Amino acid sequence: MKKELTNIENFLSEMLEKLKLSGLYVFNASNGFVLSSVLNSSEIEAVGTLSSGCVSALEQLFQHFSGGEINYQIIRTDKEIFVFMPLGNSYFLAANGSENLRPGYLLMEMESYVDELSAVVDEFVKDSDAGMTGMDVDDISRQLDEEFDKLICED
Amino acid sequence: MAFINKYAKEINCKIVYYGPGLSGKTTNIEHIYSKISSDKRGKLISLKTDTERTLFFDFLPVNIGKVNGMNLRVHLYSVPGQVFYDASRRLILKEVDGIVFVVDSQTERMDANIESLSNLKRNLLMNSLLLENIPMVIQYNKMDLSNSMSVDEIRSVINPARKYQEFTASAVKGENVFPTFKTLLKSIIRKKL
Repeated sequence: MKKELTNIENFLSEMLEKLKLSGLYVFNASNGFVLSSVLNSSEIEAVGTLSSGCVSALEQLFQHFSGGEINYQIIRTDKEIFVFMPLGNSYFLAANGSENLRPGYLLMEMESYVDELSAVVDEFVKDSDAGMTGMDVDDISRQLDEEFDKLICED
Repeated sequence: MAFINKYAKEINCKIVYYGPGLSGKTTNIEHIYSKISSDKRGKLISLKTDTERTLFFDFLPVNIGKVNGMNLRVHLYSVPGQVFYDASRRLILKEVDGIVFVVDSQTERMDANIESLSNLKRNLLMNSLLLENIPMVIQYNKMDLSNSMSVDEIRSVINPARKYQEFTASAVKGENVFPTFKTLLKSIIRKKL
């Protein structure tokens, strides 16, 4: 069954294709949670884990962004190029792609999307953080008990 | 703050294990890691010194399962307990949803417990957070040791008004590690409702 794409995923998918990137991610700068992402390959779980584990580095980077000291960060490895830039006050945009991409052009292209993407992210967060109203506390508690029973494997 | 993503059908929340150095914060997380099947958890990321002390933090993502049709993902962190890593502790407390305060129940560690609790309140304040507004569970760890204080003695100092739920534990034996974790998670969800 095809997954229904949200606006933010549509936006990122379009960006991914146009910029010929391998992956695009929007992170919460404070806790490293992945808000949304699109990938050409790889698995989102691994991405989320890695990025959250790097929460301190992201936090430091975001402080530099917030302070206006830098506007972006480019990291080049043997095989890939990574670009980080802030999205509003609380989010990051991160991209990775082939080492053959030209960083200057990539940066310029990404910057052209930032304002619109920020607005999409704001709308997404506002709309998505729906709260948990209408749920029954006892029912949630029972579900958690069941999930914990399945979680623990005695070996 | 816990984020509910209705499109992805996910609830994300962040739990921090706090307490004085060598109280057993990392041991709690290592036990959880060891008992959860690999498809339900990520890698345990741990930065330690040569003497096995936590240098920066431990991090373990856990996929609890479905709650009300939504995937519940929890990020577990422990802070370095040593006094001089205060900036790291402050950083890790950002956007925290719930805290396990791990008490070292040995008599000679009482002052360290008190200082750590005070340090927790201070660091939360510096993140514009109040302990009163954050779900917390207190775990009296190392209760299996011969030099541990009684629960009543520790409680009179750490949790005198019995405001927080508490567990006696031996993290190294895995006793009450999961009940502590689960109780806190329920408190977090309850607060969000």
